[in-house]
Amino acid sequence: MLKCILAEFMKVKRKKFVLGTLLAAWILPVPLTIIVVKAKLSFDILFMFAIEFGFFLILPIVLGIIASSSINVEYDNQTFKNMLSISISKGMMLWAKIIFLIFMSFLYGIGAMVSVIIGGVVLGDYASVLSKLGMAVLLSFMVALSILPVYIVTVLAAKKHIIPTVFTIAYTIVCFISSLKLVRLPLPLTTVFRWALPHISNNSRFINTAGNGRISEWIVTLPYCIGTIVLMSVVSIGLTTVILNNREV
Amino acid sequence: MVTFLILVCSLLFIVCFILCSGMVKTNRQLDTICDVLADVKDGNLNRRILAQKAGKIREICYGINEIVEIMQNRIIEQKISEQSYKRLMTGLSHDVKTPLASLIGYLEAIDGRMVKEEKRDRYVNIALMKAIQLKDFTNALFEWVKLDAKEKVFHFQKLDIVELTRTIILDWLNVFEKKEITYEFQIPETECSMFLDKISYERIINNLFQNIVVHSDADKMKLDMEISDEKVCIDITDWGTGIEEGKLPFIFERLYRCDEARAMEGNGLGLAIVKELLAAHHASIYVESMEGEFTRFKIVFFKNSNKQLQNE
Amino acid sequence: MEYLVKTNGLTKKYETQTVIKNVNLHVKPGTIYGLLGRNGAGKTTIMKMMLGLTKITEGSITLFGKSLCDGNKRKIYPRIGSIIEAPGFYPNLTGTENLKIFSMLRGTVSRDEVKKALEIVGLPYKDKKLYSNYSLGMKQRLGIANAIMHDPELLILDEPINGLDPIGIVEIREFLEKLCKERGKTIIISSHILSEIDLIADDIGIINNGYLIEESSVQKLRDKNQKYILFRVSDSSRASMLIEQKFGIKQYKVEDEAILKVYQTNIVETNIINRFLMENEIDVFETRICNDSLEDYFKKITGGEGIA
Repeated sequence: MLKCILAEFMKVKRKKFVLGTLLAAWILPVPLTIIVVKAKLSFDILFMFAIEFGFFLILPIVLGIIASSSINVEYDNQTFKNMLSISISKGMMLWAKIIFLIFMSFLYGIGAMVSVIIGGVVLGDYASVLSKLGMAVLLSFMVALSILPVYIVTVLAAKKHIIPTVFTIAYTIVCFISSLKLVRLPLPLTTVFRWALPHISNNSRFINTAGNGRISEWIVTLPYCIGTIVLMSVVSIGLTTVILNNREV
Repeated sequence: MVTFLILVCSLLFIVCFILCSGMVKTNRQLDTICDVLADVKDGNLNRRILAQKAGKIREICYGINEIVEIMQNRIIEQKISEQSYKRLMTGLSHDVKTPLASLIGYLEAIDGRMVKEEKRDRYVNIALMKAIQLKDFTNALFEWVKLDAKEKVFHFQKLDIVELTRTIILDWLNVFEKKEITYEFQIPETECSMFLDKISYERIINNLFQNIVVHSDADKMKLDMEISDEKVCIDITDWGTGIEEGKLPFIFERLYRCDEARAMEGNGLGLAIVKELLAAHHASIYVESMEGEFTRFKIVFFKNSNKQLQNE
Repeated sequence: MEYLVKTNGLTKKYETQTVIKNVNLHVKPGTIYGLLGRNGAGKTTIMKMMLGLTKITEGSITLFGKSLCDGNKRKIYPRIGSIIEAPGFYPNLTGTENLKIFSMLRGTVSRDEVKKALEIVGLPYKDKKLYSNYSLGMKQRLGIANAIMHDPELLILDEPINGLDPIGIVEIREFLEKLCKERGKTIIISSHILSEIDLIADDIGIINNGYLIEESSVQKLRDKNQKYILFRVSDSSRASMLIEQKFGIKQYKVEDEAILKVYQTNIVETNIINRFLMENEIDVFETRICNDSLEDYFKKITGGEGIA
């Protein structure tokens, strides 16, 4: 398994999309920091912006594209048959790709968060760095798991690249908008946001979670969040494995 | 407190998991090694171990694979050498039987008085020639066998290769002129001392000249000698029938004759002997040829390696 | 072991059609087995089933004396090297990087197996050219390198010389022959190019429409293959008429104005036919005893135009 994950990393070499977005994730927070400084807003606002837009809008799209392209690259280049001849089952490959996705999610999330914190350090206004980092790790993991349904769409779409991409974007935007509008969509991405909201906006002057009744109803507890994510993940992985195995190589 | 405990437990769990999976993998690898060794013992030298885990086990796997491959290579070499030995034997027996049969034929004709007086002398002459041919061949064969078994004794002396070559050439001028072959010799004026076995060197040059005279149908030949700091190069070129490209790699092998029909003169051992003699001098020979145009033999003596002959 | 690879009643059905019907292949160890058939006859499907790339509907495959089942696949497949259809590699990586991935996943046989394999097929080691920029011949060579990298005992090659230039074809042919004759490896090779298979294979299996219609050694086929006498004459139709009248030879074929093939070789000696033709003012330029080539034989038993 470790070898397969290592192989996934090797396969991504020279893929400009991955390198480009990784760099963007690590660097973009810097200008963002500057904007926040200019607008004389606090670090927490910066943090919240980063999370909201970064983790819940951009990260899922990027992860979705990476996930679908990692499946499609095998179909396009007919490398499945090479793998199968080495006794590496399609199931094992899928697991390797998922773990790779989670790793990438960590890279993006932690990298972006470190950038934000550096921005904060520059600003001279930062607080509870460790908890923020911890939050980034947790959120990266959760968002990665929430994006697993994309795999189902990818294997169903049978080599058409555009469908999973469209699905990813649509899925992310729907979840994003629904979270803004406080709709109770049972989708994993929304659920994560519903759980994360109080943790990322502690000192916010804009959102008073305790006082505002509607919001406090909308928030979910950790077990609920974990439960939804796990359920969705299991279903996604299971379905994908079944479809993968049934489709001829 | 509880969270701390949970963290420590999960950490321990992860560590255990990693260790266990490591052990399982090693076990699996060791099983494979045992399987492969059993198969190799049974005679299947094509089995290889695919090493998965990095580390000492992988080195063991590589080592076993190498050993099995070496064993396989040795058996292959043995097979090839057996086959070429068989070919040598068949070829040799033919080379002895044919002139012998011919010789006996002529002698029987003379003995049975089936031949008229005038023809008798001629037949005796032919019979003598054939006998001499047979003797030459047998000598060459023994020489070859000695060379091959590395039993030949060389007497290396410090000689001037330039002067020696000049001496050999002088003997051949007549022959070339009789055969109407124009010759050109480019030999440096300076002296060059090398460790040579005089007889072998004469043999080498004589052999190559002989090939030109007998086999090449050439009307022109040339010998070029070039002396540099590191080597001495002798190019012997003839503009004659040349050698077919496909046969070029094989001409130095024992018993090779380019023109199978011309079994009369010369034998296939000549060039093979030349190569072995040169090898004893730590020198090499290369051939270049274009069919119908020219043939060039290039002999290269390496001065450094040649010096070492002093100690042998 | 009598047979290294054996299939028993191998059948493959897709929903609407049966593509492989009850195939019983036998491959002896240390030989080269040529799988012949037209496009779509089922050669690739059979090879895929051997490698576990496609599920077997009915029947079984025995490899290395063991029946193929999910349990022992892990032990059997490392001993096989294969190339099926077009080679599958990642376009954003160089050839060496591609091979490194596969060698890491498969397990390595020696320290520099990638380098050695690339040397054998004539591709550069650790160069910068990406796979997407490879020519067809280079791609095929990389595929072959991937198949031989781990020095397997059995090679299953699906059209390995596809896309190679003539020199490449000879190189690969000589290499495969060496592997088999010197090292005793077993090779199953499918190809369109009948003349190549003829040169290299020891045994042949002919697949047509999913059936294995013939399996025999190349030597037996050559002996069986109809012998005929080829006459190159000045007027072949008149010649054919004359010999039919005079000798009663009915089995002949007039190929064009000059070529006459006589299939009844035992009725009368060739020299008598020659003399007779010449006496009747037909010039005979060439007389040869020939066999039908593998291609002719193939055409005959598949009842078609041969390989399209």
